[in-house]
Amino acid sequence: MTTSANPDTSAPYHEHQPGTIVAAEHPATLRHPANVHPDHAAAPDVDIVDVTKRFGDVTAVDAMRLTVARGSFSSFLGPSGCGKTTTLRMIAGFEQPTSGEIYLAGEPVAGVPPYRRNVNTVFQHYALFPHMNVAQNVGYGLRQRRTSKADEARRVGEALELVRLTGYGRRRTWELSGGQQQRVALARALVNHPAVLLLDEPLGALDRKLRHEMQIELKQIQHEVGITFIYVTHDQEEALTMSDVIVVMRDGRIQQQGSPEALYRHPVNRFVAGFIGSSNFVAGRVAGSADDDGRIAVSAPDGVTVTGRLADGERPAPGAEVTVAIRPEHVRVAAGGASDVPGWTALAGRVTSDTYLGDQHEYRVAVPGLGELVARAQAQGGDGAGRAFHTGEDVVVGWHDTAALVLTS
Amino acid sequence: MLLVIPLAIVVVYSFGVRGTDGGYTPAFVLDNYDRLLSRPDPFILSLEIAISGTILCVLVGFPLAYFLATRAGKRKTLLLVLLVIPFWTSFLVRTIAWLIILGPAGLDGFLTNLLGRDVSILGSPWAILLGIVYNYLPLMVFPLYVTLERLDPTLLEASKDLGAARWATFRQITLPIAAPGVITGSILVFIPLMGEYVIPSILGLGKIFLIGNVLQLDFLASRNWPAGSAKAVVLIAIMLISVTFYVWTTTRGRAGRDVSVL
Amino acid sequence: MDETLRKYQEDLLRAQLSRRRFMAGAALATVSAALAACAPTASSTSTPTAPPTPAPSAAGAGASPTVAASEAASAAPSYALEQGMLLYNWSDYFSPDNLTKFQTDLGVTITQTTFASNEEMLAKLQAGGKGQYDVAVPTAEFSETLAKAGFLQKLDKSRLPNLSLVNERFLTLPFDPNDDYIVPKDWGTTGIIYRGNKVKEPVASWKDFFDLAKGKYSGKTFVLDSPGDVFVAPLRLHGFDVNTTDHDELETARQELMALRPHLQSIDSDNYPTTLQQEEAVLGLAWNGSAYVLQSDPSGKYTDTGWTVPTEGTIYWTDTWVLLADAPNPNAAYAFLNWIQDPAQQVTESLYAGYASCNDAATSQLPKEFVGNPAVYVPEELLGKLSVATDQSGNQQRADIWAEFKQG
Repeated sequence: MTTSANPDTSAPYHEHQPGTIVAAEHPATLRHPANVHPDHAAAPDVDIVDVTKRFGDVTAVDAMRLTVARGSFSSFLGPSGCGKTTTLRMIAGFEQPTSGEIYLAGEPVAGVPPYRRNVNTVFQHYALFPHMNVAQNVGYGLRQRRTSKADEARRVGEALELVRLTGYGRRRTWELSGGQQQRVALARALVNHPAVLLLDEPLGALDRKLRHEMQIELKQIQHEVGITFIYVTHDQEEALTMSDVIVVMRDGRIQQQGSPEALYRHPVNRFVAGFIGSSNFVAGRVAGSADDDGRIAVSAPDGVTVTGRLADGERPAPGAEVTVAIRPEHVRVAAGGASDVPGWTALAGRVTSDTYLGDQHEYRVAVPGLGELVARAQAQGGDGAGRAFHTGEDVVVGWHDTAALVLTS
Repeated sequence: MLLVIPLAIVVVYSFGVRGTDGGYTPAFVLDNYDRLLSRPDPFILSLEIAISGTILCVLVGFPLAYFLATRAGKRKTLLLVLLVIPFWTSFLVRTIAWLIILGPAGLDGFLTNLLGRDVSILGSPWAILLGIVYNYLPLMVFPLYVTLERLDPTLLEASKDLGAARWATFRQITLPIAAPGVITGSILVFIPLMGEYVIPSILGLGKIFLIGNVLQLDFLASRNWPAGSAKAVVLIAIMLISVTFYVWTTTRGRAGRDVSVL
Repeated sequence: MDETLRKYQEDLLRAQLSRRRFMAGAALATVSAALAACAPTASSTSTPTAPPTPAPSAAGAGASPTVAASEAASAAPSYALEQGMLLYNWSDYFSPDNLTKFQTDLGVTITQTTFASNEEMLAKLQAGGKGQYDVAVPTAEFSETLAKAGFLQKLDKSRLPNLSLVNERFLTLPFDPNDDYIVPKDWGTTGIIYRGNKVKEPVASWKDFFDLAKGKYSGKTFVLDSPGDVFVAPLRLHGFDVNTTDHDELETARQELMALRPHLQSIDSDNYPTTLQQEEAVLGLAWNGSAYVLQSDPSGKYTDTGWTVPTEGTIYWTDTWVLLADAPNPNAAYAFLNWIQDPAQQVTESLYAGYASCNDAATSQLPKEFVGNPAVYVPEELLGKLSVATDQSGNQQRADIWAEFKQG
């Protein structure tokens, strides 16, 4: 391994922040300092306690425990069927838990119908009322609360202004673009000043560019109104962009929850590591015992040994099956033979594909025993240190031991 | 042309006189209309029965269509078929079946025993309304079913989410969206009802005299085509006016709230 | 009497016949068979003993139809019979026994097609043109319509010697004053029907009918949904002509009818036998055929059904055989029209259909219970009180009265 690696890429991983990886039992840590509601003493907006939801034989949500802090932007992230939408619908009141209890602002809401919950939803396909114009759609919730006409008009105007649709009140909903319809749906929910706003993959139907704009806008709006947002998505990029807290779900269970950065850096298992960002995975067995920093040697097939860092509190027995996860951007590629540098793992391999991505090079390198590893390197101008490699070239791939996560599950 | 020519013939005939052996002899007299105006009762009764029959069909048909469209699940097809099966038999057979159901061996007899005095639904307008609901219900249910089936259930969730309880949601979302189905169904039921004569003859025990029966008498029994034509012209006019009025009021009310028919 | 009314009447009676036979199951001819069993002499006496019949009929009655045919042949050029004959008839209105017998007697096969109303028959004739059938069975006044439309051919009466057996009551009808077209088939009356188990009071006249309907059987009385029949009651009650056009007489009828109206259970021509069976109505103005049908019901529950030919008089109707224009098998048709008037065939036909025969010779051969039943045969003393109704459908005053009556 050469020392030609860009120095700034390896540095952060030494700073371990234990507090950012949160087990479900410690909900208080979910609070994001910037967005925590001023009323610290109040009960959290949403508290889900041991909630299970079954549809026939299928368990959609399994013994879920979660607290959503007041004023936070939380995302439920996971593949379809992971239970994220079911959880959302239970909070909204469209579904009742099979067992367990949901608390909204400290109050149990079992049996409370949706129309009596101080929660509003932005639906996946907006669900705008086709027989009403934009203003009538937005004012619908206010009319249900017997708001005066003048009040309704004023608040609808404010809500439309918030979503930058001032002057669209008389329009027909189907005359609007997808993005505009999305804003109407948002305004229709926000105008009621709910304690919690639930968003069910609201950007799914928009094109990529518009989606990105809306992500930023949503985040801004959330900041402005200070309402708790719970956002359901299967798009990790979307979750990373907007969320204070991401709750990764799979098969009805929470895999991990925490800030986007914590989840990215310290995934607790292979699923999270693969779902948030991308990773190279190397299967192996624990070859020794961990040192004080949590570093541990893992023997992979073909006698290859790699070193990685264990997550906090993990102390697998020797011989236990583990997975080592290495982010592609942490994999260095260098020319020449392998050299033994302390604190680094270095392996010989051959480039099987090289792809130029503009700001980056992506290489696939075949390493005996480990298979193909993906490496991503910043592209450098001129003949700088980060020279490009080509398919067929013999190279050395390596990573700092702290960049390789040893996952026990 | 196929629609206009028979209509034109009817209008021309309505000013003629009956031939000696029946039928039509050309003339231009207003007698037929004159006589008709002095006897408006069958028209009024027909209008009353057609309107209440239509309303009843809506009241019965809407819940049925709603159930079929939203709650019936896998049984939906079966239930739709069951709804239609009676209509594979003739109108006459179905109506006569009700004669038995309502008769002394049926409901009338049961009520008479129960209340200890003679009850006769048969021969009353109630029997006719029952026959109407039974025979015309599918005409109401199918257009309603189509609109209700297309109703996106998340709209109802959205409404509840925004604070509207079940009835408020029904009134503000389901009903306005289903309105085209209600209008179509009402027209489909109302128009043939205005000319109905089989049900009054059978379930009315011949004692309920509607325009349909009048026309039948004029054209078939008296063979007085001009008199029948005049009544037919008035009947068509009544239907045109009432349907136009109905569509106008239902859509105008909606337009006022800035709601589209579609 | 108007055609629509006829149609209703015929529809009804056909329906009843069908229903009766349906209920009897496979034994279609239960009723006639039962009656034949009651009177075993009827069939056995038919051929050899006809002397009591009047002189002109003796030859026809005594002789077999083949003889009649050969008689005709001797008096005129010989007619070669065709292989088949096409009959256009109401359903269940021609005895299957006679159909077989015609084949046996004359070797001609009858192919029968049925219709449900006079109008349907006319429509089929108009649509298909002439020459589709040989013989049809319209109601008497409808034969006039057919004749006017050119669908009938004038009869050569020299080829129909058995016509002499027909009672003169059914000849020179107003619909066919010269008997050019009609060979009478059956006949019947409009009168008063009642359930004998309920109505114990004497029912002899229209006056009795009105009194009982407005009195004890108020709400339990029906009338036919047929103005031509219903007008008969008030008009005869006051001794007026059934075909009157007199304004005051019709006004009197109107008052009677309107006084009756609130007491009626129904105004119905189609379902009244059921109404009577269920005792929803026990008294009514009806057609005689339905009384006979109820009496003969296989259940035996309605044998007490009463039928009154009112003493003030009433109307009677006649069904007829007619020879169609351009008949493809004219010789077979003529042979049939003569053969069918033979008393033997008339007896079979009457018992099968349950109607009175127009043929006096046959009447004398029918069972006494049958001839003595007022629901089939009008009692001797009332024959003089019968009239023929002519078409009054063009009378505006009658139409207005009827509309008012229906409206109630």
